[in-house]
Amino acid sequence: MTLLLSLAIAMLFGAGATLLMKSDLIRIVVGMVLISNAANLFIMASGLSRGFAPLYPLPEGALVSDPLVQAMTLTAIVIGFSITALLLAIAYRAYLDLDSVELDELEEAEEREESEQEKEWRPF
Amino acid sequence: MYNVPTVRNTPTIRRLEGEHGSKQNRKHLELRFSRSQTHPPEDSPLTTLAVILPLALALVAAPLTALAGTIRTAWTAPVGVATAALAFAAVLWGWAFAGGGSVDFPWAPTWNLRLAFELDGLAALYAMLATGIGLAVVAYASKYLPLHLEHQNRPDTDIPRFHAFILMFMGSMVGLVMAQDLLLIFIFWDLTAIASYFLIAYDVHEEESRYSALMAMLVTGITAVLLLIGAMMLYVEYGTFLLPDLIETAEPGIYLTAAAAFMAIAGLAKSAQVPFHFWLPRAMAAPTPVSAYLHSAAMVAAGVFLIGRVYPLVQTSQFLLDALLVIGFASMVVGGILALSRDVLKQLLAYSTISQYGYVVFMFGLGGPYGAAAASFYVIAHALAKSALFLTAGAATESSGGETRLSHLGGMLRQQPLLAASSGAAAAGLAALPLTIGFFKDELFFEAALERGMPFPLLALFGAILTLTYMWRFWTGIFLGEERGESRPLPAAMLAPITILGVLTIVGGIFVAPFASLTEAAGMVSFNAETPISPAYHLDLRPVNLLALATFGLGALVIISRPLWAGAAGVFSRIGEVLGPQRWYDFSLTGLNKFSDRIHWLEVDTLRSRIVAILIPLGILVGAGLLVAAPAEAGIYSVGTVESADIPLIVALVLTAVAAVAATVPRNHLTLVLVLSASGFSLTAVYAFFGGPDVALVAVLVETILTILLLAVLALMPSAVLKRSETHGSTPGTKRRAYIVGGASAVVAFLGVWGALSRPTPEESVAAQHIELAPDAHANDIVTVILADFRGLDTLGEITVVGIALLGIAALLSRGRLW
Amino acid sequence: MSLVFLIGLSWFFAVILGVLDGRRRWVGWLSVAGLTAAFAGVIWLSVLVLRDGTLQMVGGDWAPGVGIVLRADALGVIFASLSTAVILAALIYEVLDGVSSRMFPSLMLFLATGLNGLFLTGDAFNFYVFFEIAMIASYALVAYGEGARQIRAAFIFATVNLLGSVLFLIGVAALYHLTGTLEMAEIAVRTQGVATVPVLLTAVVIFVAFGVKLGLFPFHFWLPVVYTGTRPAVAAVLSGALANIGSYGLLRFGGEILVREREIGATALLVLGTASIIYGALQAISRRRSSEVIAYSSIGQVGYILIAIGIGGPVGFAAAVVYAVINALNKTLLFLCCGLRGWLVGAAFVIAAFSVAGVPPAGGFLGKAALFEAGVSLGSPAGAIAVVVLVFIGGALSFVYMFQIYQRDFWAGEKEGKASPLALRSVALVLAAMILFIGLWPEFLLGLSRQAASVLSGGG
Repeated sequence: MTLLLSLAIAMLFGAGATLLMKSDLIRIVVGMVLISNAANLFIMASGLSRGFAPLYPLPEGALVSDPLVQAMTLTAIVIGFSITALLLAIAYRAYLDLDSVELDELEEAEEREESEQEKEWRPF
Repeated sequence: MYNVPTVRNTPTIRRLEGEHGSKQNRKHLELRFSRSQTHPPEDSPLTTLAVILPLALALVAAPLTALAGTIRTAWTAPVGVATAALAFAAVLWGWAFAGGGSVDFPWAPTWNLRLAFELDGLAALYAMLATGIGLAVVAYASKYLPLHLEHQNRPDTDIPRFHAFILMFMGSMVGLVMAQDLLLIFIFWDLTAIASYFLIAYDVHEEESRYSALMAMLVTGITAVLLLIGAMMLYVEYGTFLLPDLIETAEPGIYLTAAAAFMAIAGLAKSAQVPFHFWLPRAMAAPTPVSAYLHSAAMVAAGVFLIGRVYPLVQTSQFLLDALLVIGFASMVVGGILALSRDVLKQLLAYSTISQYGYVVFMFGLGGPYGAAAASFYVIAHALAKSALFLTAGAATESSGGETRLSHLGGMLRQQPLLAASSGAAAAGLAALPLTIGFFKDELFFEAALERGMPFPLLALFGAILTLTYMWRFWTGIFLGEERGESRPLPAAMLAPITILGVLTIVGGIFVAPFASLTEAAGMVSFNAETPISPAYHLDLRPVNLLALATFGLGALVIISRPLWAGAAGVFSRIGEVLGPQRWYDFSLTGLNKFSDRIHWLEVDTLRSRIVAILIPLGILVGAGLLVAAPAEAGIYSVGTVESADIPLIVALVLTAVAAVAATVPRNHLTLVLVLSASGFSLTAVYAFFGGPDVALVAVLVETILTILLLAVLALMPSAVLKRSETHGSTPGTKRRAYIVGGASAVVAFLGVWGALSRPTPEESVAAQHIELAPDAHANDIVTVILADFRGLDTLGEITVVGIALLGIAALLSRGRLW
Repeated sequence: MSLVFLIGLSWFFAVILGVLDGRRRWVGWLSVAGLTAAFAGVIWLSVLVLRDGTLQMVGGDWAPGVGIVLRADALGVIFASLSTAVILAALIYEVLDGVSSRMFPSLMLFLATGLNGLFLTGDAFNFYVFFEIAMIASYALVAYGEGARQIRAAFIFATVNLLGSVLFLIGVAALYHLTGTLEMAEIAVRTQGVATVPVLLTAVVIFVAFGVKLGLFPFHFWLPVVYTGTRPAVAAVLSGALANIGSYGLLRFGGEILVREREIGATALLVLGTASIIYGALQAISRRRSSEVIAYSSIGQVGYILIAIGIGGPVGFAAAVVYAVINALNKTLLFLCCGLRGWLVGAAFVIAAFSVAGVPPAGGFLGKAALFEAGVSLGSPAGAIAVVVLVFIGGALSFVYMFQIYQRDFWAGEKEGKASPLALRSVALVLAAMILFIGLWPEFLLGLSRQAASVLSGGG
């Protein structure tokens, strides 16, 4: 099970990283969602015990799933979601400015400003 | 060869008290002064005042003047002159009448730093120069500066800045010479650098000024760090920055030599010694009074002062003394020869300064009581003469209507007899003619060289001939020869300082005793033992006198034979321009700027590369960590067990992972979002099968909202825009790269995650306590208890994050309106 | 109880300000008042802690570990005071200049809340939560001004740093898995009994997370475009307050929790620190705009902090604290100066330049001196020489870039124009005065840094 969980987490992370390499803002946001999911699953997987849901009344002597990691996962899911939403808003705002979701155009603007500065100059 | 005393064979009285703390040692240092009989036995209010008063007056001079100047520009000069005069009087009083003294307050106990100041012989000598010549320069500037600004069409409001910085220069010099704590010395040391930086750049609109100021800052500022390093080395080894204590306890050896060498290099750079000499002639970009001050009593003098101050540490190493000899001689020769070939007045004087401080360093290198004391005497004689000569250069330029070149000046003797006489005295002083204080400086110089033995007297003779020659060139060039145009009369405030300095040069040549006793007191601090000197006229043929006679005779020969060697001197200076250190400086500075430009392409400017730049080092570090630690531990990884009950979980896991990987494929944005939510919803199933119904519920909710959000954003964007991005920029190359990065990240993540999850679970865990304690919190759902009670703060934080996200989104999309 | 109250104070004001229009003058001043109150509270807490020692409380009065442990020790309160002061300065600056977005004051206070929370918590996951409060507030803040450049900067900043945050979250979860607790002090004890490999890998992940926040080479590539793209007040906050997460986090995790791992990785820290110092300085030299020079300078300067942490021990940790504090103040002042004009600005700028280059009496020389002390104290002569030479070269390069840009902007007249209002310039002057004060009375910072180092393992 350890191996399978690790594989799944790695695949989520890898897929997210792949999407981060794409050149459109939406895909980058999606990539971040996948990477966050990988982290959330990792928290869940790092629980110290696995068994029944941690709800009283508990069966006598049975293993109970680690409630602390569940609380942590919950918190992390909500936080991750909020940040994703903000990121999406920034991406949308960038689209409004550029009329494009292309990262390249964002970067071209950066490049342009940069090269404007590189004109003739004196160091002091 | 002179037997160099180490710090350990200091007078017996020191050793007797050596066991006690710093306080006693310091007391005792005072005892060793020649004027010790006039010393009150204890720290009396008088001795405290003797230190505090000069220091305080010198330090407040700049702020007071700046304040006065801000209120009314016309007040600047009078207030400046008055404060400088007061400071000078206080130093004079503190030394000559109160007999010096010391104060010592704790400053930073963590580093054992102390605000320790002492008006000892060395401090008194340099403080008198700093305040006295400071006074002369400020007085001179009160007339010079308005003329200077007028030439440049600048407003009078620029005046206070000048006076404030000159007086700050003076204040920091006084602080520097009195400070006994190495870190305190470092602070004042750099304060002088700061003052000179702004003064050199006073004509800030001129590129030459900016270039020179930067050069001075870089050379003296960067080398000053060596002083800090040396001080820190001594502190780490001996637990104190206090110089008297260090002199007492430091053991000779390679460590001490290194520390002393660092401090000496800082001093040499500031004294413009070869190979750091190139900044000084450039510093001429500053107005003339600044040059006069910088060369005689402030910046450059501070360099040799520092060597004099740490000399007890320096002289523990014969190697360092020899190095000083070499550097001193090299500066003497390079400065002297270049001074012979310069045409611009101030440049000639600047190279002369390099050469003259070369003498001083040479004398420190010779060592022995004569070397140490003669060095101090030399500084006095040089300061008086050199400041007068610089002021003369400024006056000649002013009088001739802006001419700065020797070849375009001449014949001023008739029109400016007073200037000619005063500067003649000063020039004679520098050239060491009899009846000037300069004669004795060379007498002591020759004596120190003779004490050391051959070939040093010959080297000294060579230097003295050079000095005589270029001084002759300077003075005759301005005042003799045919007249060049009309010479304007000069204001008395400009002539008076030159005259006074010239008179002092002569007075020192007749009544040398006060100067000699001050020198002895200073020499004792440097040498850490008595340094009796007896400068006097002896009408006989002793070796010293023979050397002096040889100087005059050979000097006359050299002057007459000028046509023979003028070309050679020119070639020498040309070689210096091509191969000299200034070339290296320019080369490194432009080189650094070019190199910086060249490596700027290394800076990635795409988001992709920015992310890769995190993932790759992460992978490398994880790999390195595995390599370092793994071989020692077997069985890091465990496969884990799979039970039949886990099958639904496995199915959900597989779905999650496969859907995630599938999300990298589609071009269409809608498909992308749907595949993403497939992965997300499968993940909620994983949570559910993991025994986390609460997590699963929340995850379902979040996934739903997220999907809706993404779809909403897609709906808001015109399909053309989205279409464009589907086809744009996805070449097979970029695609392949994306998968390589993704795959590599997956592998690294896998290794790391698997390694962590394979660990056996720890025996105790908080979770077990949570399960146990949950009923105490009156609830059945343990996760809820944790969220609401045990870790309620986390939940509050989480809600805050949601709130901030809302604020941020509102700010971005609806100009900050929440409703 | 005072701890929760303190963190809650700025939170409370932030929530109220969230519904008000921050562009109104009185709202701006209300936010200044709120943050001043919070700052006063932090100072009061610092005084208590520095006098009486570490304060600790557990949420809900549960046993430590069951409930969240809040802990104020010397290290935490120093960083909390520093960050709050920086945010306060930037907030006053922006309020004086005229806030252009409704949310700005509220976000600044949320940022202060998050930072103070993470400096004062003793619980790893709670650290993450406060960390995210600070981060999300700063993502929104980078977009402040809402121009195209700001939005672009915000997107890059958020994406890259989100990756960093996720890494940190993974690290925290791994620590829990390995030790069964979230309380930092307890983790420190229990990791001793766990095999090296997984803890070391966790340490690597956490290091990278903080390295990204700090803008350490090679994790710094996001930094120049963000610092130059955003508004001066925000850049000041990012470099003077938010980056403290990185230095504090490295000190806390490296010096207290993952001690063994820091020792194993000391070489890597020294190598990366060296690379940062040299690379940042070389890039800074020929940059044209002052904000750009300062951004690259920050990359170089954090290298020194890393070197000090790599050296470790009482001297090394103290040097790291000294350097972090001074660097934060320098960078805040420099970024604020980037937005100002007039001759007093030149004075403030040059004081900061002296400080960066290590020229007294500006405080920066203390950082250099502390590093030399740490370097010289190293056991091996080769190591000592290497560190001293490195710090010397780095310092020399900082002379070159700081004075070149100063002369270009303030002497060669490239930055001429109408002088900014005096009130704005006086904010810069107050900061400059603080830097001078630190240099003239070294005991203040040296004593604090020693106390801070003493709470770390091997730092006592």
